[in-house]
Amino acid sequence: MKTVNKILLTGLAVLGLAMPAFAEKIVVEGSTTVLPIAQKAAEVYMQKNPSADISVRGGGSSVGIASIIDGSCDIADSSRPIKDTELEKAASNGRDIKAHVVAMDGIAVVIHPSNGINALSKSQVKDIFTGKISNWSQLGGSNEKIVAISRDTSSGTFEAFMELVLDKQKVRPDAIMQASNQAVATTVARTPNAIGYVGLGFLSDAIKAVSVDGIMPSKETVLTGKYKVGRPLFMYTNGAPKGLAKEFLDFVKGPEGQALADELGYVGLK
Amino acid sequence: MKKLIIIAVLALLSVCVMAPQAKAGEVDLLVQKLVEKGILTPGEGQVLITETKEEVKKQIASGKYENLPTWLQTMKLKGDFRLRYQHDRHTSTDTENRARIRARLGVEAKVNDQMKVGIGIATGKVSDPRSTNVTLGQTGSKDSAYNTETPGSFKNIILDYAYGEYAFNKDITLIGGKFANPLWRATDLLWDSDLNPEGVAIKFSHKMSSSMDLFMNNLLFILDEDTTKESKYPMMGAIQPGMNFKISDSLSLKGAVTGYFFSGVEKRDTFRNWSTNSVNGSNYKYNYNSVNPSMELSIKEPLWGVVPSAAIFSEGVFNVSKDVDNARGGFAAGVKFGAEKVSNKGDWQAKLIYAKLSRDAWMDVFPDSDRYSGKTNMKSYEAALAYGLGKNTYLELDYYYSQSLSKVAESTTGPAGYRPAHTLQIDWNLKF
Repeated sequence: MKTVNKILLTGLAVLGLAMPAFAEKIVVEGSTTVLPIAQKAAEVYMQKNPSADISVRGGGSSVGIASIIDGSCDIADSSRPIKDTELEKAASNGRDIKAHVVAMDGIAVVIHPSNGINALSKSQVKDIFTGKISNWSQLGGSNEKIVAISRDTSSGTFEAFMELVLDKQKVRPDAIMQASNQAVATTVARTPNAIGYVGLGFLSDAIKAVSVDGIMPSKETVLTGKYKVGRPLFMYTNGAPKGLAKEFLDFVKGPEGQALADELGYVGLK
Repeated sequence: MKKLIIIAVLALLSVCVMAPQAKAGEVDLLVQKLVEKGILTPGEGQVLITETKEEVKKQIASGKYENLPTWLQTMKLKGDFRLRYQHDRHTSTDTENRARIRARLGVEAKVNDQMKVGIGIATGKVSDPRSTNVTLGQTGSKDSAYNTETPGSFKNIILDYAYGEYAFNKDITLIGGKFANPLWRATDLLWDSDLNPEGVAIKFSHKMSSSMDLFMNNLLFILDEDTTKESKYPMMGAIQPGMNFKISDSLSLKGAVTGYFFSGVEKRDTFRNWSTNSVNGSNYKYNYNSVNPSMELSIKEPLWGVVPSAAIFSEGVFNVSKDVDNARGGFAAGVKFGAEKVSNKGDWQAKLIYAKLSRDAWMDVFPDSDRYSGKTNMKSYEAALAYGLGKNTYLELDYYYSQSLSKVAESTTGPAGYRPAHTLQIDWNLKF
């Protein structure tokens, strides 16, 4: 083989081996509510862009925001707005946190399918989760003790539920805390007298959503604001995103990413 | 065409949120109208409202919101008030009931992105830097078996703290002046919580991973300034390396070892006209260089979530100075359970602590003055219960049983014996 060709082939081989070194990598971390959107979007994006490397992990909204503030992730997923104290810490760390709304979510109040209750008012949901109502018979249901299932305190879903429904009152001390939306859904599905709350994307035939103040959670009612237990889902970046982070965010917010959010049961913005 | 409309709406929103008269509701109404008219989709409306609110919130938090004065955006006012009923019983006939108050008011202001200043005042007595309590009804001089007060010094406003702080970066902070104790303490065995050191401190912290961070707190405390004495500027230095380790989602461990170094204390006049440390005449007999390990194991929702949190904590102290006799060690251990912090209605926290401090384990001017008046050569049992009455207000019951470690001869300060003391405090606390 001619020397020139050998050199060219060697150069191509080296370049091929070195390609992974040039592949851009970003880390997306935070909310377990936003996690399915981030994971699916990352999967589809990387299929279309093989050189991209997007690592997605959960941990909760608070974990994600703490990571973007200390620089250990590129995009923070959050199912709640960033707090003033977190913004102050970000400012003192020299971080300019920018919010991107990537979808809407409704928090559905869910019960076991065998439970005859179909509708609750917001104040009834609040009374259940703060311990003022403890038996289904007080709501016209069967004479059974209510088993309340809640998210743990690092969860954005928990924070949003506290703010939107509980008026920041404490969850009843006997509530069973779960670390993820899926865990709440699974526990409610297995416990006939249970009541919990999950993001819309975690509804399934194994659990039943109840209407709140006469409105069932759906894409339309969440987007128009008729369903009052709704909230925006965020991805936060440090300043205006650049490079792969910008491309990934544009993908998530674009028509294809929003369609994925719809498919997953969230409320796309397009 | 739609893009031009959205750009115009964004510009209009920018004006609306920057104008001092604009309210958040007006922006929402505007966007709602545009959605109703079909100019914006509901999704676009939600994005506009939410992202604009987040941006304004960020600007206010970083002091860049142009329509509010910078000093207003960067200044924090805080304070608290405590009303206390205290019952002390030393013997069946020697009892005392007091109503006491403590009030603190302070401000913290951001000077620039790296510096801030804090100034605070509190009730208290100039003669006792460890206590910010004042007793209601006390006006003239008072003699009792255990307490002699100087007339005219009962209700003063003292300087609680005044400091400047410089953050080199997110890991290193320098503080100078009179400031909150920068050393982490697992208990109040060695330090009264009202005692704010005077000097300089350097705090270092670094997050090693998502489950571990390291810290190192360093303090130089100027204990006194008296040019008439041979030891004009007695000082204390402290170096405290430590770590925070998250063992699991529900278990975390914090630990530190503090080395204390004293200069100009040995053979100097005692800082008060009485002391439970060993003295030669009225001078300290020993130095108090010591080692102080401490730890706290925190558990979230132990016992199947019966309580929100629990913690086991302890610390020890050992005087390593030369020629100190056997009475050179001390320790405290305890457990607490309930809410991590009592800050809302219905929150509660219970605490049990045992403490023992030998005569020369530590200087007797620093420990918690509620526990046996802050003396050394004592052992003490404490039980406390705090209950949240509402946001930022709580009730606390605190009971101490304490006694001397060695028999004390009869004197003007009390009878012979171990001098047991019962103290009950009932506090109503309010913070803002």
